[in-house]
Amino acid sequence: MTGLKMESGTILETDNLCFSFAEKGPYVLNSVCLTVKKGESAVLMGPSGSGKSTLAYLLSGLYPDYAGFLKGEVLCRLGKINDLPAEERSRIVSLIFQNPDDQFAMETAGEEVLFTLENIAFPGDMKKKAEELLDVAGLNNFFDRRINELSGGEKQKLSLATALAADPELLILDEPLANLDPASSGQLVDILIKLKDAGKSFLIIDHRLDPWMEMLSSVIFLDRQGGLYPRKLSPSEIPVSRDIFKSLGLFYPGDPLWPERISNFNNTEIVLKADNLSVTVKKRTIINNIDLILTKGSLTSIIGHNGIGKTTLLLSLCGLFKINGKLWRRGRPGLVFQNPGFQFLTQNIVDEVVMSIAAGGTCDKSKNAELRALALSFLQDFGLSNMNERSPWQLSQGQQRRLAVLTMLAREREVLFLDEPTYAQDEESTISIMHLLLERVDKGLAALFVTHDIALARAYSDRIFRLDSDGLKLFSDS
Amino acid sequence: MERLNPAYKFLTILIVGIILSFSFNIRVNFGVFLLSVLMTLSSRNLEYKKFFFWLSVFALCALGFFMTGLLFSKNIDSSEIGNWGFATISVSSLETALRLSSRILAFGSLALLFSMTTRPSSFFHSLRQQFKIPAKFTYGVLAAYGFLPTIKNEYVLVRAAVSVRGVKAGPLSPRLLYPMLVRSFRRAENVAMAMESRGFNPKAERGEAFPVPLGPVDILFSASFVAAVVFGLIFL
Repeated sequence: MTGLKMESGTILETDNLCFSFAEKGPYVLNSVCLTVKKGESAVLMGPSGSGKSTLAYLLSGLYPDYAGFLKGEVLCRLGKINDLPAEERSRIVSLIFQNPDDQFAMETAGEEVLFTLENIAFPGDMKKKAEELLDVAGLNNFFDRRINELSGGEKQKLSLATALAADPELLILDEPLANLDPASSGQLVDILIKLKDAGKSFLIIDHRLDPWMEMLSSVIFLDRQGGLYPRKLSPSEIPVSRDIFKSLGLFYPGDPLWPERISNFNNTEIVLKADNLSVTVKKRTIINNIDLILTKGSLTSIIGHNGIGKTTLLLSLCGLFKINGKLWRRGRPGLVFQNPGFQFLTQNIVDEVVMSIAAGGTCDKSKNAELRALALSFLQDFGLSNMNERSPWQLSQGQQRRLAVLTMLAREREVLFLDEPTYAQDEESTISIMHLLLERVDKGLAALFVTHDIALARAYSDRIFRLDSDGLKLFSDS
Repeated sequence: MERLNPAYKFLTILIVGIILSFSFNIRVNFGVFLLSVLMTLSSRNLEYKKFFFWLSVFALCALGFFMTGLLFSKNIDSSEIGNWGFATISVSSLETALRLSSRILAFGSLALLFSMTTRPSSFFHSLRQQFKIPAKFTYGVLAAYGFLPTIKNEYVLVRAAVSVRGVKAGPLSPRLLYPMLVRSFRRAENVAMAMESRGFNPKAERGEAFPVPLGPVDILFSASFVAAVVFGLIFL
C-alpha cells in the first residue's frame, strides 16, 4: 500500500501502528488502524496514559524521529508522513501542543506567524497574511505583543494562528482547553467551529466531550492497552453508548460529573485567617484586598480568569511571597503545585515519601525502617504501591499528582493548598484525587484548591470564591 | 545607531575591540569611550535608565582598576608625584592606572553601544542574511533566548516548591537545579517539535519575512569607525 493509492478524501491513514519508547519495551500503542477523512472533526478520548498524545505525535510525523520505535506506517497522499520534509508535512498536518508555553520560538506574536510563513516560503505579502491569520484566531492587534506576556488562552490562539499559516489539511489539537478558563475555552471552540465550516479537518484530544458537541463528527477511543476501539462513534450513537465511556473510565457528556457532596461544613475552629492581604511585585499589584477564613474540616475552591493571580494567591497564603496585610495560620501549610514535577526531590518514590515524613522533625536514623514501612503503607493508600522503586519522573501525570498530594499529606497538616489538582486528568484519576482529599478533609484538614472547572468546584467544595482584581467574592450562580 | 545593520555593527565593534586589545594608548581608549557613548546616546528609543546603570557599573570597575594600578603597580625609576606614607605615586604608576581604567571604559562602552541599540532578534536575522549563518543555529538561539523569562519564573516556583516540602536548599542547590534541568530538556524538545510541526526545515529554501537592510551607511560606519581608531593609534 502506498500513499498514492489512498482513497480520495483521506488525509491520513495508519496501518497496524505499534509503538514503544524502548526498543524491546512494551507497546504504548497496539495495532492502531485509523483513517482521518477530509472534513472530519473527530475527538480522540482515552484514559490517562493510554497513548493519546503519542498517537498525535506519530500522526504529525514527529515520532519516531524524536523518540521511540515504530512498526507500521502513517500515510498521506504524498507518501509516508515521516519521509516528507517538514515544510511539506506542515501543509498536510500541524499539531497544537498541550502546553501553551513550550511551542514558540520568537519574541512577538507577529514574528511567530511570520516564522511559519517563511518556512513554507509563502509567496505573497507575508506581513499582511500574518495579520489576517491573527485576526482569524481572534487576536486582532496582537502583532507586536510579546509572547511571554500573553495569557494561556491567547497563547493557544496564537498557536492556532501559526499552525494555520501553513494552511494544513488537518489540525491536531492536544487537550487545547486544559489550561483555559471557561471564557477562553468558549472563544477557542467558536473559532474552531468557524474553521470547520470553512472546510478544515480536526482531530482533538480531550477528556471531555461536552465542549465539542457542536462541531463533532466522530469520537475515537483508545483503551488502556493503547488499542483503538474497533470503530468510530458517530454523534447519533453517543446517547446509547454510555457504557463505552464508563468502561474506559471517561467522562460521559451531559452526565452530572460527580455526585453532589453532602457538606458537613459546621466546624468553626479557624485554622487560617487573611485580612486585607495584597501582593505587589515590582510596583504592580497582583492580588488585592483578600479576606479569607478557613475552618477545620472544610474544602474551599477558588475560580477566576487566566492570569488573575490564583497561583500567586496560593503562594502568598503559604508564606512564600512577601505580603501586605495580616495573615495568620495554624501550622505549616502544604501546597501541591500545578506542575507536580517541581516538588520532587529524590529519584525514588519511597524516598520521596520518607523525606516528607522526616521533614516533620523526627529524623532519627534508627527509625529508618519504621519510616519506610509507614511510607509504603501511605503509597498503598494512594494506589502507588506497585511501583515502589520507580523515580517520580517515570510516573504518569495522574500518578505524579497523586504522589505530590501524598508528599504533602504524609505528615499531619492543618491546611493544604492545591493548584489545579485535576488538570489534564481523566474521570477516574480526578475522582481518585478528590476522594483522597475528601478523606482527609473529613478528618479535619482545611483544603483550598484553585480550578477552572466550575462543575468540579460545585460538586466537591463547601464554598466557592471567585478571584477578581479587587479581591475574593463568594461565587454563586444558583 | 539602532537602524544600522546589526551584523555589520557587530563586526565593526569586534574589529575595533580587537585592535584596542593590542594597544595601551590612553588617548585612543578615551576617544573610543567618548565616541561610543555619544553614538549610543544619539540613538532613538534608548533605555536611558538601563544605559546609565551599566555605564556606572563599568565606571566603578574602571575606578577600581585605576586605584589598583595607582597604588600597587611597580615603580620603575620614574619621578614621584606624591608620597602619603601608605603609598607612593609616580608618573609610571599613574600611567598604568590610566591605561587599565581607560581600557575598561573603552571595552564597556563598545559593548553597550552594541547591546543598547540592537534587538536580539534582528541581530540573528541579520547574521543569517548577511553572514550566511545557518537558520538552524540562529532560530535555535532565538528560541532559547525566548526561554529566559520562563526559566526565571520557574526558578521562583521551584524554590517555593522545595521550601514547601520543608527542605532547605541554597540558591544553586542541585535540588532546585535538577527539576529545572529536567524541565529544560523537555522544553527544548517540545519547542523543537513545535518548530518542525510549523514546517521548519533548516535545509529547505525559505522565504524571508524579516529582511534586514544593508546600505552604504553601514559600510561608511564600519570603515570610518575602524579608520578613526587606526589613525588615532598612529597619530595620538
